Amino acid sequence: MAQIIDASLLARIDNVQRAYTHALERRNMEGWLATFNNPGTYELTTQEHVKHNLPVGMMLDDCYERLQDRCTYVNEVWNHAVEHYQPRYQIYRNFCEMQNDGTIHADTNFTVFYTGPDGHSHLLVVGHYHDNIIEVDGELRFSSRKAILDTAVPPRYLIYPV
Amino acid sequence: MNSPISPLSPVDLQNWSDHTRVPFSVYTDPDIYRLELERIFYGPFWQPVALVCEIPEIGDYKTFFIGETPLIVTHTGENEFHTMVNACSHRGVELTNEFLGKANDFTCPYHGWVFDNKGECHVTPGEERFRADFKKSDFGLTQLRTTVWSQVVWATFDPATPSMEEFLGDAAPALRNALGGGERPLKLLGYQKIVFNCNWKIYMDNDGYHAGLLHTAFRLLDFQGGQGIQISGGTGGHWGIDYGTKPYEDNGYLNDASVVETRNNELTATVNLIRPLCQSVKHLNSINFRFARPLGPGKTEVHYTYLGFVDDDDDIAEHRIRQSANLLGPSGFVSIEDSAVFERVQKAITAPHNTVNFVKGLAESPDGKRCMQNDEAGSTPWWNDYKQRMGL
Ligand code: FES
Ligand SMILES: [Fe+2]
Repeated sequence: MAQIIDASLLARIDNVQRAYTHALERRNMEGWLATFNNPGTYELTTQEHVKHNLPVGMMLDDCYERLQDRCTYVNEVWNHAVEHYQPRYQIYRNFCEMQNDGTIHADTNFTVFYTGPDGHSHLLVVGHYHDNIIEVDGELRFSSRKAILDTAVPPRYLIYPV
Repeated sequence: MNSPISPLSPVDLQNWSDHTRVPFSVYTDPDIYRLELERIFYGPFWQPVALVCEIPEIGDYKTFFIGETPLIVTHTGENEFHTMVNACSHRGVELTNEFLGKANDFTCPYHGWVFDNKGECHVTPGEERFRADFKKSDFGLTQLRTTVWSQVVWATFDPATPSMEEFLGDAAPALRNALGGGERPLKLLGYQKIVFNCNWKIYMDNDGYHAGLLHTAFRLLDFQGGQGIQISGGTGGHWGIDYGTKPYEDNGYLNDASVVETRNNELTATVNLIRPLCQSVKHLNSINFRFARPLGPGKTEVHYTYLGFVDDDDDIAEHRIRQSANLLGPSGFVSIEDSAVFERVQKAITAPHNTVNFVKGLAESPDGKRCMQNDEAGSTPWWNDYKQRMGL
């Protein structure tokens, strides 16, 4: 394991992080899916779950099929019924390490604000990502992304992944 | 009971006559909310404060709330639990802020008084200069009556609360079935905690009864739940529906249909509303007990608590985890519309001279005690009781 200092590799890692948040900010679920490798996994949980070793958190897409189904949930199943909000992300890279097997382990902080249909803006959640990133066909993608919220109780129901 | 109505109360409240037509102001008025804390949350209702599996070992504790009162729930002996107010008996300081923890005693961070996990006071530094009649034994933590029923720890402030059997009445069997029959030891799998931006009664009015109506996912899957009967019972208008499900036949809509798969032929399915503020759902292989508390008149915090069984084999244990995380929570595949409806009702109920109307099912069931799964009549025993209890 070695801390990554190569500026061009760090820029490529930042790019996949930004592709992810930018897709969510545009409610572009296909764009969100495209940042994952197949096979790939996504999990949304909280610090409280990590502390008490509890497996059921907020969302668990532990196979690529579930990542695809999450796009269906947002685009089709829920679209007419929910009150959509505009999420806005601030992310900050903590560290990136090259693993012995050539994959990248990254830890990134996030803060997500949201604006509801009434035009009022609030803090949605705060936390950090634990990612494993791999290079496939010259592109970096998440092989696993775990979003760990400090926020144990979000102030409204979440529609989109974080 | 004395009426809380004064000439300053909203006109709708002054004129409320029909308990099946609830004035909007009942959901929004701050004076009503204060009175609900007194007469309902601190009144003759057993309220769930923990599951045994959240604090499975002696010495474990959990913090939670009834109404706005912070509590510590402790596991103190073989099938013995205590519930006490999480406020130092000296000057009122919160004793612990851990959600789940382990401790044999609690030391107050202010002047160092020490309480054991049954709430007895043992150490009071500087006592030689306290008032002459000071006795530690007079300064235990405020205790709530506490009982265990179906692996749930219940507590109440009111000495007049009837036994659990009388309290739940005919609503007991469906709740017991939701929790695996009450004997098979449950296991804690995790939580989904959320704030709904709605009054606590909107949360209770608008869930459970409408499964086949509101939820688009069931339609897209061609998968409707069974037809159950809402059975109302006990004191305060609890209800339960024990409806059972058929296994899902995959119509190809999902790439991973395991989220709606029923394994081990576990077809028990029940929905339960326990007054004033608790729900429990067993659907497919997901077992869900929901603790909740009001955060003022306009917000409700809900802790969806997911459960399995200690004796689950690896396959079903993993399946419950995978299903629970995505199926029936505040952001669940089939249930997110609930969250949306709660908040959309709240936004609109500020209008004067308007009522929330319970109509469906009253033709066949005027008292609402037995009605169909999707009927609104099942909520009316609660509203009848509420209206009288509140003196409205
Ligand atoms: S307030 Fe707790 S010891 Fe004084
Ligand atoms: Fe529902």
